[in-house]
Amino acid sequence: MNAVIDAPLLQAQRLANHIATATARVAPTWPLDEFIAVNPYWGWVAQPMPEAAAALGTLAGTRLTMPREWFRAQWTAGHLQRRHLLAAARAVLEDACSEADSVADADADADADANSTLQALVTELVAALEDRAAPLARLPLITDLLGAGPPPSPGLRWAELVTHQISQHCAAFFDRHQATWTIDSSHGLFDSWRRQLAADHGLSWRQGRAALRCRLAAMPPAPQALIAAALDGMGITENGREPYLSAVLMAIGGWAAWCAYERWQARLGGADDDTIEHLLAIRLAWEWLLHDDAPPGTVPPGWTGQWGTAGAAADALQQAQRTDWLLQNAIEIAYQAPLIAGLSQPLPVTSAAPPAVQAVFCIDVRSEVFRRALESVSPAVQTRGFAGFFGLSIAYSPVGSALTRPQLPGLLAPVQCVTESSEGHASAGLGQLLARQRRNALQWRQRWAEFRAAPASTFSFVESMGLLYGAKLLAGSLPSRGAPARWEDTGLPSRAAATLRPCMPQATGDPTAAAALAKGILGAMGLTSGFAPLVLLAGHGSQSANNPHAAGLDCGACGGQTGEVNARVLADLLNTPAVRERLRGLGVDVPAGTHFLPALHNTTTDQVLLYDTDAVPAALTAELAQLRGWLEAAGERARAERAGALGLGALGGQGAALKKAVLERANDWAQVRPEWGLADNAAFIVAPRARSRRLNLGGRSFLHDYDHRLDPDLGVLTLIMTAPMVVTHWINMQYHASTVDNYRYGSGNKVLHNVVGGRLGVFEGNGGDLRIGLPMQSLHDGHTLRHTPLRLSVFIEAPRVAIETVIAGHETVRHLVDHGWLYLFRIDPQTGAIEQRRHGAWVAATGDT
Amino acid sequence: MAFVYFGLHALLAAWVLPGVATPLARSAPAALWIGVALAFGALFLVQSLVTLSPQGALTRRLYPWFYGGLFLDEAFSRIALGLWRPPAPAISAAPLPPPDTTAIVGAHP
Repeated sequence: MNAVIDAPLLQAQRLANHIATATARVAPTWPLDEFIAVNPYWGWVAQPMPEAAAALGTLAGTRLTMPREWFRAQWTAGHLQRRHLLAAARAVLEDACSEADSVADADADADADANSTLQALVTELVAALEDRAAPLARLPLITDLLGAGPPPSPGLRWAELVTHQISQHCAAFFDRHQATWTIDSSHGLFDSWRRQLAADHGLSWRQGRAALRCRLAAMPPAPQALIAAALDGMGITENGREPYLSAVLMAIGGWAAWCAYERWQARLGGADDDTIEHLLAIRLAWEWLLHDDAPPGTVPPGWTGQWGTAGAAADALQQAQRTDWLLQNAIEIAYQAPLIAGLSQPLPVTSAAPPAVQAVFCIDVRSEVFRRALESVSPAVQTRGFAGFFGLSIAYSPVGSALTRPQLPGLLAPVQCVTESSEGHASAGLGQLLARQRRNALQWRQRWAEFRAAPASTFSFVESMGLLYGAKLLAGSLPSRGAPARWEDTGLPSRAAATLRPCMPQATGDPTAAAALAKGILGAMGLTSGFAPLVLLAGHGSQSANNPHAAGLDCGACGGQTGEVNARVLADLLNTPAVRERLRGLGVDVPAGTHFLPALHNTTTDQVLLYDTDAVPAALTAELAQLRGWLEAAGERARAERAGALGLGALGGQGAALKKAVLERANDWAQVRPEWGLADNAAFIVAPRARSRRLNLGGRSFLHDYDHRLDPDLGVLTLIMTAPMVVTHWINMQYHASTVDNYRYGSGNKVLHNVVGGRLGVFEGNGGDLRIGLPMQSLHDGHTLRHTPLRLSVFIEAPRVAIETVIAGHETVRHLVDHGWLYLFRIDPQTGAIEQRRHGAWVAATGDT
Repeated sequence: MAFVYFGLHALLAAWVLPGVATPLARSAPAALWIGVALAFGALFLVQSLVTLSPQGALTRRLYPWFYGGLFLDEAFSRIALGLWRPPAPAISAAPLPPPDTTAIVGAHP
């Protein structure tokens, strides 16, 4: 009796689990104004990467490795060599053995059979370079099956029409910033879609519009009920439901990623959001409608059964893709080998003299080029790498504005909000006055925007006012080298804006709490003693014009914003006398003669802008002037290094001309490649700077300073491996996915982009799915790829037990390491020897000699 | 809005083309004036309706029509493509196009 009662409950629970699994596989995408990098495969990291790739190939028709032609080109160019293939083959054969020790013995014995197997595998790999990869056998959806029949409209397939219809509806539903007449969203996405489709007169339906309306009216109104009814209606069996739902959701992957973002944000705030289930219900409803409307013979008899055997299909594909993964491993070994050789060199003897300047930069790969240039300008400069949000879990609200934006990694929720104040300046209450001025100015702008967007303006505005915009258009088209106005200063008189300074109320309001926060940040930086007179805190930001993806070039650790606010807030905190006094009580003695100076590294122009220099003590005037000179010289060297990649190689030896060209490039609104961002990133080094200081890492490595001796409780290492390591992995995988499959995980041709909903994302052209990821112009220079898709190689200088402790305590880290989503190497702090963690064991890693 | 439109139009026309008779200066048929006035009046009414009652019944009924551009493009496309039929799309084995493999050869900067 109980079994009879429980059956529907169990069925509902099983369905809920299937839905939860399918929706959890979709990674979020952030809006354009906070465009941070995300691993689009984030929902799959609980599986080994090749296994996830096979599942994705079966369900979505995507690849996670490059085509064979690309590997062949690497082979021809000499980047991929026989020794790399040999090393990859040897590793895979070793991993096939269960006992690492026995493998070592076998290697030592140089067993003839093993050697012949190895050579045969390498020969197979070389031959595979001339071959093509195994074709993907993506399981077809109903919309795909209908592609063989008559199209819904001339020149349009059903799959495209369905994507277009859902996409246009989602654009209207999620629009909060652009449209003045918004859709009724009170009953959720699924309900609004159903109403919209019923009223759509543009759709041709085989059985007539009335029949379609009847079907829509008869559908269950709740998404979960609809999903259950649709699966039952199409006869999808229990074991085929999860893969089918995943495939259906991935068919509208761009908007699914947006819904996943809404859910991510809700969960950060302690709530939840089920919009992604609504989207799944919509796409599934289309399948159901088309399934029932399809002409006889369209859906083959075995169609439902194929979903039950999707796992077997994925297994077969994984086997077929084995060679591709070996080639991928080999090209990654080709990158790692010289890096291992460089990092394992003995450390040089360092000078005991205190530095004149300590400059803390973001871990971003672009900082590596500038740091190396700055260190080469003067040996008195010591640089450090730290996450660019400087450990501040803050949001920022410009004074007098209703806007609040996060200034921290997307993994975290802000703890407090900072704004500007004018304290310390002559006029009391200046902040309030400016806030009022800004509110008035913004109101006038709002009215003007409404005037422009009024329905009647559709016919009249351009005709009557267009000419007045001619001057603006002309000015924007002419070469310009000036710094663009900061949008944060919109509505403020420029002189007054300069008096405002973002700061944390805690600095003066609760110096004890502020000191505790400061101690934690300085400890994580490894900067608790030996302070230089000037400590530069350099955030970073980019400069480009007419670029919807501009935030993607800014600091990811600052939530896709520049690091200016964080650097200024932290400097203000650390310069506050009351905070320093309490810091001393906590064991961190910052000398009275030390000043923290906030700055912003412009990664497009390689200029460094110093902030709040009026607060620098007079005693440090000479040091400040010297620092300005060093920064200018370093910028010139960094620009010269980057010139070739920007197509400005001819100006490499002409500092002034190159600077002019780079500045003009940054303001050119027709420039689709203002800079290369984080393209070609490949490694993350967590070690004292001395370990990598002699190496030219080519702007491909994230650098985080870490001294294990200052971290006895592993708090800092845990932080690094659970936050910056995950963030760098996200960046690495975003570039990887956008490169290997730009159609699904990139955003296509930048020239064709149309911004959706003011900030949601872009369409390539006038429709199609919401495009996520990077445009091709961020990866490709028109002749060759600028990003080499390699999984991140993480090098950590720490005792083995410390790393193992963090891995054991954090499932996400364990997944990334054990499932091959990144490589983990350990640098022995005493000997400098490097070993790699493979399948839970540490294996000696040797580099190029 | 209409007054602003015509005012600016007259002002700019006088500035750009001084001495040349503008359409406003010439006498227009009364029907045209009435048509234009009605069009602007209708737009004003719809805007007022949407502003005052953004989730009202009439607003919700009108939304799909206006969001779909009164489906004018659908009707036009159907007529045009009925007269000049485009070639049928080629049926390919892969339902979705694979990533471009030609542009990425010769990599590793």
